[in-house]
Amino acid sequence: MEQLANVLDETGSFSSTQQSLEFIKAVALEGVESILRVALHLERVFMVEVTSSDMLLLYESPGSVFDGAGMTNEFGSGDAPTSPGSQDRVAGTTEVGVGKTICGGPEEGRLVKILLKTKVVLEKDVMTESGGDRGIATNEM
Amino acid sequence: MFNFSSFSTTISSFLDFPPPSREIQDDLLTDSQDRLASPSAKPSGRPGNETEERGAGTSRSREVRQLQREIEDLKVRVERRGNEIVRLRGEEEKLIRKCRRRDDRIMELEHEIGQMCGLYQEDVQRQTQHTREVEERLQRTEELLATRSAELSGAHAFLSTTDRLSEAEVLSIVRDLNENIYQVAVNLTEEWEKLESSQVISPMDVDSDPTSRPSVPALVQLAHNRDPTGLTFLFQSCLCSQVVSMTSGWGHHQELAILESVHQRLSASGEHRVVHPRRNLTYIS
Repeated sequence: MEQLANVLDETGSFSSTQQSLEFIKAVALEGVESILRVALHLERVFMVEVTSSDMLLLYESPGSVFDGAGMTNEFGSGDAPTSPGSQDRVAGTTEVGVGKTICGGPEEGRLVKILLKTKVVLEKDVMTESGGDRGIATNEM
Repeated sequence: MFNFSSFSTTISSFLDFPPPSREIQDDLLTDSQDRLASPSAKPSGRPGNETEERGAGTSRSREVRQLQREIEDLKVRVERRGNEIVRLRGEEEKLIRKCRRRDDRIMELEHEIGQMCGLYQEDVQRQTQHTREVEERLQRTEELLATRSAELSGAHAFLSTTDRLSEAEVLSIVRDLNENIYQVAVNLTEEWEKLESSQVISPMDVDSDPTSRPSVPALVQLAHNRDPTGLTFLFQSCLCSQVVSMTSGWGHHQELAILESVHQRLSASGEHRVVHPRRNLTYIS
């Protein structure tokens, strides 16, 4: 809740974080609680009910390098970098992925096998500079 | 002359009876003398009576013979009685020996019965002791079984490598979760847009403009620019971050954070069969 309130603070629509928090409680309390319940259920699934391997949710922090092997682009602009050698950076995660750790052998150690790719938005897709304006690249939406 | 006294004594000795009393013996003797001295037996003294005397002598002779026959009969009877007595004494001795043998046998059997009773008592005690030992052993075994069963029940969770949920089921849950996150983010954005359109927002303070700060995430900049799509992405990213934090092992339990490093170290050792099930030990619902 506090993190969502901090996001709203960035818009400048509320004079205080407390107001932002009250807004979120009024609008999305039930939805957030539902998400947290599912998260707790998933915690039990990963800790107790799945014992053959380690399963985990995948999340990409903003600024990390896009990797098509474990991520998909929200705007579907291709899993490969736009240009060879370039590194697209992640602006945010919009859908969590799922992976499980497997033993890759004595040299490789433990590897993460991707079961569901993390969906991300890339900085290049959300940041367009045209005459100083910043915004979503509408041609890719 | 016939001696009745010695005869009766002899008879009595044969018959094993007590000899008749002295009075009885005298009566019998007097009686026999009277019979011998009766007028028919006495000589008349008269010469004309020679024939009578002869007749009387003949009669006495007959009586004597009669008596001798009786005596012979008595002797035979006495002899038979004697034989009978001997036979009976033999049988009596046999019976006595038989009774003694029976007595000996009875004593022997009583002794054996006593021994058997002693053995039976010992056997009963032995069986009772054995039963008690078996019962104690059974009780110990049952207690051990209960302990082992409890241990097995407790260990079962850590021995099982069978997942209760398949990968497909887990992915379905995660997809639903992503959908919920999206809906909440969109809902929040829409409500914010309604709010935004109903009030006049003063221009942003230049100093608080995040775009003026270096290394501000792109989505934050979009939110600062009141870009609805960017705001939705930012909401989604925040919710995703929170969800991942909650499901990443012991990450959101500060008191158990050390277990995360222990788990990683064990995982690196490759003992998956031990590491994964042991998460149950530290799961806090």
